[in-house]
Amino acid sequence: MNISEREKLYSLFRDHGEALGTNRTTTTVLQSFINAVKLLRCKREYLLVQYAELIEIIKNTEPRIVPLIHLIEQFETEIRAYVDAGSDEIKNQTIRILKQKIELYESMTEEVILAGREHVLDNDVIITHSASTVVERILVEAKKELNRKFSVIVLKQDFLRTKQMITWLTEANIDHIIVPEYSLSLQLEKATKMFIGAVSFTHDKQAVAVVGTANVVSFCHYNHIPVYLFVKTLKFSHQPCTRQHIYLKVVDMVQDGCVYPLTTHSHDLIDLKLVDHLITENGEVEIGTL
Amino acid sequence: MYEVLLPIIVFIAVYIVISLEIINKAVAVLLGVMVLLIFRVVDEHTAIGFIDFETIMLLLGMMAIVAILKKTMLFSFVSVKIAELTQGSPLKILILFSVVTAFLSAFLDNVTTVLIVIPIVIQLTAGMGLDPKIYVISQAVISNIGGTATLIGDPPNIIIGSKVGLTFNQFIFNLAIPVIIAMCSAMLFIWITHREKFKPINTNLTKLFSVQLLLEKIRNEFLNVKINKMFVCKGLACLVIAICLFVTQTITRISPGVASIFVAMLLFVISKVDVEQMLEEIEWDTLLFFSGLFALVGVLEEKGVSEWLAHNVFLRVGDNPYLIVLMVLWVSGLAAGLLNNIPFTIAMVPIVKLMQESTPIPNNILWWALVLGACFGGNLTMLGASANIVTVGIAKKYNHNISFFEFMRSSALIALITLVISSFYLCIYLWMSI
Repeated sequence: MNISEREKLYSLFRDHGEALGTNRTTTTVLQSFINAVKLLRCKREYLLVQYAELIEIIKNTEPRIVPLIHLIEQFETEIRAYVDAGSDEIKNQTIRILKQKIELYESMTEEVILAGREHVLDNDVIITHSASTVVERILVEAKKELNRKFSVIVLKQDFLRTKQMITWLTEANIDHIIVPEYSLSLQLEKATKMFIGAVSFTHDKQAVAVVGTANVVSFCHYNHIPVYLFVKTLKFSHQPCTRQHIYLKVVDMVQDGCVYPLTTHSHDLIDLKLVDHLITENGEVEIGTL
Repeated sequence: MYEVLLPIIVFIAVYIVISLEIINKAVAVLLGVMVLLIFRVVDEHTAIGFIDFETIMLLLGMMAIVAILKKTMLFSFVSVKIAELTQGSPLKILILFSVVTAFLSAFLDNVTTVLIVIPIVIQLTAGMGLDPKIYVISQAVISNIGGTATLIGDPPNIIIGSKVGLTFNQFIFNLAIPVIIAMCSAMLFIWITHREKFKPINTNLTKLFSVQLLLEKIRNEFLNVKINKMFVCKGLACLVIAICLFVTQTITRISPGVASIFVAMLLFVISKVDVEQMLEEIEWDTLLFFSGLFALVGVLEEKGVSEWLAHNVFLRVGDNPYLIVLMVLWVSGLAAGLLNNIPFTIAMVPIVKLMQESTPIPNNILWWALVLGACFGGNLTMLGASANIVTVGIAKKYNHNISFFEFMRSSALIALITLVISSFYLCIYLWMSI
C-alpha cells in the first residue's frame, strides 16, 4: 500500500472516529477485518504477509486507537498457534478470534455502562460534548432502566456529531438543549456534571479526546463542575501522549483576501488532573493510582 | 421578411446563450419570447397557445412525484445496498450501478437519478483509491441511455410523446431492444477501454478491508435517517399507479400529463408531506424554460421556417425512407450532442411532423429515430444532456474536476456506437415494416 492510499485509510479511520466514537470504530474495524478475510482469495504463502501489512496499518493510525491496538496484539499472539496451518484453517481461526475480541470489547463496554449509569442522579443537568457510544448508552439506560429524571446540555460542534447526539437523545425521550460551545458560560449555573469519553489515556496521565474537548473540560473544571471520564482499561496506553500520532494538518486558507496557513490537530490532549472522576469497567478508579 | 428573420435570429441567439450557459436558460428563453412580443411578431394569446400543456403537466406531475419519492430515502437505500453488493469489486461497481442507474432513469428523471447515484459512486471509488472519473462518466452516459426506454425517462421523450401522442407502451415496445443493446455495448466499451482499472481486488486484504470500512461510512452517511416504511409504501404505490395509468392510456383515455398530476396530488394528500417544501423542490425554471421554448418554436413554425427547413434541408435527400430515417437519427444525434437535446427536440418536432406528412414512414419509425438520436446523441458532449452537466457538477463538489474534453473522450465514442446500433435497429425495423 503506497503512502497516499495509507493516508486515505487513516483519514477513513478518523471519519469513523468522529462520526461514531472510538467504541464503535473499534468494533467496526474488527468486523471489517473479518469481512475482508472472508472475501480474500490469495495463495497460502502471501496470507500472513498480508495480515502483517494490515495489522501494521491498524496499529499506526493517526491518532492511535489504543483499545484496537491491544485487541489486535491479543489477536497476533493467539493466531501464532496456527501459522503452520492451511490457508482455510488460518482464515477460520482469524474469524473466530476476532469475533471473540469483539465480544470481549462489547462486554467491557457493558460493564463501563453499568458502572457509569449509577453516576446519573435525579435533577442532574449533564453537559455532553461529542458522540460517544458509552456516554450515549449511560444516559439512555439511566433514563430507561433507572428512570432517572435529568436533562442534557449538548455543546454544538460540527453538525454530523451534533446531529447524532440529537437523534439518540430525541429517540430516548431525554430532555435536552443544544448550545453553541462558545455559549457554555451562560449554562454553568444549571449544569451539575460533564460526561466525556476518550480515544485513550496515556501513562503520563493525559487523555486523547475529540478536538474541542480540552477547552470545555478545563472550563468546567475551573467552574467546579465535576468532569466524568468513562473509559475501558483497554484504552490505557503504555506510551506517552507524544506517541499517540495525533494527526496534524496545515491547510492554506483564503478568507476575505487574506491567505494564511491554518494548523489543526485531529484530537485534543486533556490533563487527567482536570478530570474529577475516572469510571472504568471496574468502577471508579483513583486517577492518582494509575 | 422582418417577421421571419427576427424569430430566426432570436432563436439562434437564445440557443447559443443556452448552450454556452451564459445566463439562466429560462431567463434566456423568456427574454427571447418578450423580444418577439415587443416587436409584435406574435401576440400574447397566440404565444401562449403554442405552449404544449400536456408536456408541462407531465413534467410537473413527475417532478412532484419524484420530489416526494426522494424524501422517502428509498433510492439512497437501494444505492447503498448496491454498494454493499459490489464488495468493492471495480467491475461489479460498473455493472451493478449501471443496471440500477438505467432502471431508475427509465422511471425517474435522469437528473434525479444521477443526484442519487453519483455521490455514492464517488465515495466508494475514491475511497478505494480508484479514479472515480470513469465510473462517474459511465453513470451519466448510462442514465441517458436508460432514460430513452420510456415515455417519462428523458425530457425529449416527454416532448415527443406529448406532441405526437405516442403512448408509454409504444415507447417500451419500440425502444427496449435498442436501449438494452446500447447499454450492454456501452458497458462493454467502457470495460475494454479501461480494463486495467477494473482489476479485481479480492487478492489484497488491505484493499478489501478499506472497502469494508468505506461501506460502513457510506451506510452512516447516506442512511443516517430512519426510513418510514409506511411513507415508502405510499410513495411506491403511487408510482405503480402512475405507471399503470401510463400503460393503460389507450383504454382509460387518460393522458400521461393528467395521470401524473392526479397521482402527484394523491401522493400529496396521503403522504401528508409539507406541500410548500415539496413545491420548492419542483424545478420551476425548467417548466418556464420549456414553456418559453414552445412559444419560440411555435413562432418559427407559424412563420413557415420549420416547413422551409423540412423541405429544403431534410427532404432534399429524396424519398428513400432509409435515408430519411438515418438522416433524422444522425442529424439529431450530432446536433443534440453538440448543443443540447431539449431545445433541439422541441425545434425538430414540427420539422419531423412535416416530413412524416410528405413522406409517410410506417410504425412511427421517424419518431423513434428522433428519440434515439436526441437521447443517445446527448452523450456526445458534456452539454448534450442535463444529466451530464449535473454529474460534472457533483464530481466537482467532491474535488474531482472533469473537463469538457475529458468527458467527451469517454462519452463521444459511446454516443457514436449507440447511434450505429440505432441505425441498424431502425433499418431492420423499417425493412420489416415496408
